[in-house]
Amino acid sequence: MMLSIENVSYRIGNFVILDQVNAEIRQGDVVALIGANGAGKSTLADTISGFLRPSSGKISLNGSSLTGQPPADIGRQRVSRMFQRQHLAWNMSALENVLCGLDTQSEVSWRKNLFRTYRTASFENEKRERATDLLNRVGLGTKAEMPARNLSFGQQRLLALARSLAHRSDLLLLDEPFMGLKSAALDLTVKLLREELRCGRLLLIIDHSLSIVESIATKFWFMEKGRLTSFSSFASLSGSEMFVRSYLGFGPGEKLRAAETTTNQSCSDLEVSLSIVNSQRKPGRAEVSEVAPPMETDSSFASYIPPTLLALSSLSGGYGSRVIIRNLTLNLLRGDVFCLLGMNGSGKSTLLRLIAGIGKCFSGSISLDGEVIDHLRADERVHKGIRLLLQDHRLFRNLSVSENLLLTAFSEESASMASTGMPLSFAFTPSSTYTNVLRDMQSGISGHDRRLAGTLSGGEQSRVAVKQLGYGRSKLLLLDEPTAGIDGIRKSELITLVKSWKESGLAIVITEHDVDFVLSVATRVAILSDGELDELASVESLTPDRLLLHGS
Amino acid sequence: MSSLTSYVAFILALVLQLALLAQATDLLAGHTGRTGLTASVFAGIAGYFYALATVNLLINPWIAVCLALVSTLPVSLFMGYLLLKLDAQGFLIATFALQVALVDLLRNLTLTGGPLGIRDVPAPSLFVFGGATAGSLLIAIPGLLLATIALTLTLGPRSDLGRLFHWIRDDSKSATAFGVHSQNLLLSAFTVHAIIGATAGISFVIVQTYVGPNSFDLWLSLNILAVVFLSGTGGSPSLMLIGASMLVCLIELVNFAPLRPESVGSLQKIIFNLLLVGILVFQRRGIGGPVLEANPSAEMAE
Repeated sequence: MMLSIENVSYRIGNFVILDQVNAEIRQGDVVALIGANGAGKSTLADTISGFLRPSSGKISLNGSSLTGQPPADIGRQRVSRMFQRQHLAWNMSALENVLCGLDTQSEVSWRKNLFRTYRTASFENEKRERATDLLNRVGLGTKAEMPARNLSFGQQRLLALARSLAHRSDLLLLDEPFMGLKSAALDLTVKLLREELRCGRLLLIIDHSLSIVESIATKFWFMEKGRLTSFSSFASLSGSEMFVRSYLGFGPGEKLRAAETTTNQSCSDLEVSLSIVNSQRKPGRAEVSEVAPPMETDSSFASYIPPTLLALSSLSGGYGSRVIIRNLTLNLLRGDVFCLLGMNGSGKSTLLRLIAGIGKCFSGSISLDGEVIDHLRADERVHKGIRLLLQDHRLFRNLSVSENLLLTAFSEESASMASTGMPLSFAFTPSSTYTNVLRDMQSGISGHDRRLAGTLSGGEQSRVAVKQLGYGRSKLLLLDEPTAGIDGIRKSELITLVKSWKESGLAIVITEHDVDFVLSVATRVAILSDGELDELASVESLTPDRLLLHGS
Repeated sequence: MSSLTSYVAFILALVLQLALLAQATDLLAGHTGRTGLTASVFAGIAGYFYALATVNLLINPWIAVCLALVSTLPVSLFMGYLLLKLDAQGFLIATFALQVALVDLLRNLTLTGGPLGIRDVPAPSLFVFGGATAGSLLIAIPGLLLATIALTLTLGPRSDLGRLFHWIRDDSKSATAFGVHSQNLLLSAFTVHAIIGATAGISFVIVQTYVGPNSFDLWLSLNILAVVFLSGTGGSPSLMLIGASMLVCLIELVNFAPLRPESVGSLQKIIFNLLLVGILVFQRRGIGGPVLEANPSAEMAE
């Protein structure tokens, strides 16, 4: 078995996304594809799986050409794909989703379904057993009958992985398979992938979790501006200048230190040390343009600062009739960075959504700045200063990056006008938020201002979504897995940004699976388990044993 | 007594026809995510074909039924090939336009009798069963039985074909990535939908002994959609029979209202349109449909 990529390029107009890519995966290889956000990783996966046709070059699997074939034919030729986004059959149960992966292995027809035989029935039973087994192996055995839409983000990732594994393909293309997974689920996933390797499948993994891909991959591809370089070991990759420069964001003088660190430390240690070093460095010219403008804080801070910003009192809530958060009490002060850990499906995202006004509060109360906000709609809570960064970083994909940012400013304007009761058309005078957005656009802060948001890579979309949070008069930021899908440089930037928000007096609640990130920014840490909160005495008491105990 | 029996049989025929049309529409709307008005279009095409074959060409009614159903196949393949290239929203608008165009075409064609349509359409008979209502039931009863069995088997929880339809409905991109030829599967569903709609159309023409351009206009499509949403989109095909029964009973109740005869038709239309809006707003799942939500990630990827 072999996948061969020969001189593959992909361009949109004059914009080169893939530039003469040459590579191959042989039987037994597990390739980790690493690169900064927007380097072209997902585009390469799209050209292999047929969703994009290469401008030039050839891709072949086991000697037969895949170039120019429709994606369904390529999928049928034993290539399966796990997408960066949650591409699941939303209304079908977890079991049915996995069954779908198995269904594509055999002939499906009206005739076969209309004239069922004993053989058809027993084949269906076999498929159900295999699907149930796969669900058990990814830890979703108890969720088999639950619709995919009701699973948590991490559980949906596991389900997508189970479906990909069900498809008996020669080549598995996994785009961010570890995104949003907690350690217990991560262990299961890594174990599962190792088992799959024994079946002789080719594996291409795109992920930013360096410590995990280091432990599983046998070959490393690094992408920088559409060019691919292959490395035989993680040590050779992490010692290379291009990796240090474009992925970790170090200058040439700092290369030696990074390389030394790599040889002496494990990969996750490297991430911590680099992020800390990065956050301590004085910003250079390039970095100044990337740092978001200082958050506009409420001017009332100066006159009166109530001790508690957010107060949750005996809060219970969920979706429909399902209770997910139970009797939760929490007080947050200004400047608190409260990090929530917990296993997939423990209710972290639900808690953020309840505070933001999405979801149903069954009992208890939520107060912001001493004002009860239970009765307020989500948009009214935004006007009160609550901002939520969703896990899938939703942008208006058919608007440009600039337009997405301008919408944030417009929302701020309409909020302030709504409070004064003035009609929008008469009252519009550019505020500092609006001016900040325009200033950033003129200085090209986002790098892709005119591009449609939908054409950005997942990591780049995440950056724009985070940037949106930086504008306007906020009091409380709710960040749901903010590091998901972002590279090392962006993670360091995010750490700096969160610290600057904290300094400006904002309270921040973060759900996060990246413990290193948590240790870098948190002032308080709690573990959410089955909808109940267990706050740790200090951030330092966040030990591996403690995390394991809670399955986080 | 005899008139009561024929009245009940007439109502039964109407219920069966409406249930068939609703099943056809829901196969696309509820199970593959393409809501459209083509069921009444195919009912119209097959109904006219049957009427022309039996009245103008004097072909035996049974042979005409078979010819009408067979003729639906190439038409549905051609129309499906074009229409299924559209997304869900485009599909709805295109089928709406298609129905309006078809009605106007039939109204202006000499071959189809213009606005007056075709009268005295004969009915098929079998043994002692003859006449318009009986002939209509001879088509509608086995038609509905077969359609219900076929759709229940293919869309049920243990059917791989039904799962693939639902996968395409929820997220066609990932289905394609796993080797599912979405267009081919959708085209097969569209063809089956056309055959079921055509069966209802033929039965409808037989019971009325008449076919005209107004027989298959937007009013019929609105009735069909009302049955689909009342029964629950994407639910069990047999539920459509319950929804159709409820709707036809409501129509008949309005007939008994103490109103001037010319007001009855308008009142029926007002009631149904408001009923349709009410179901969509307050009871989206209908009697027994599943909860269907759009996948935000899949929408973003479109």
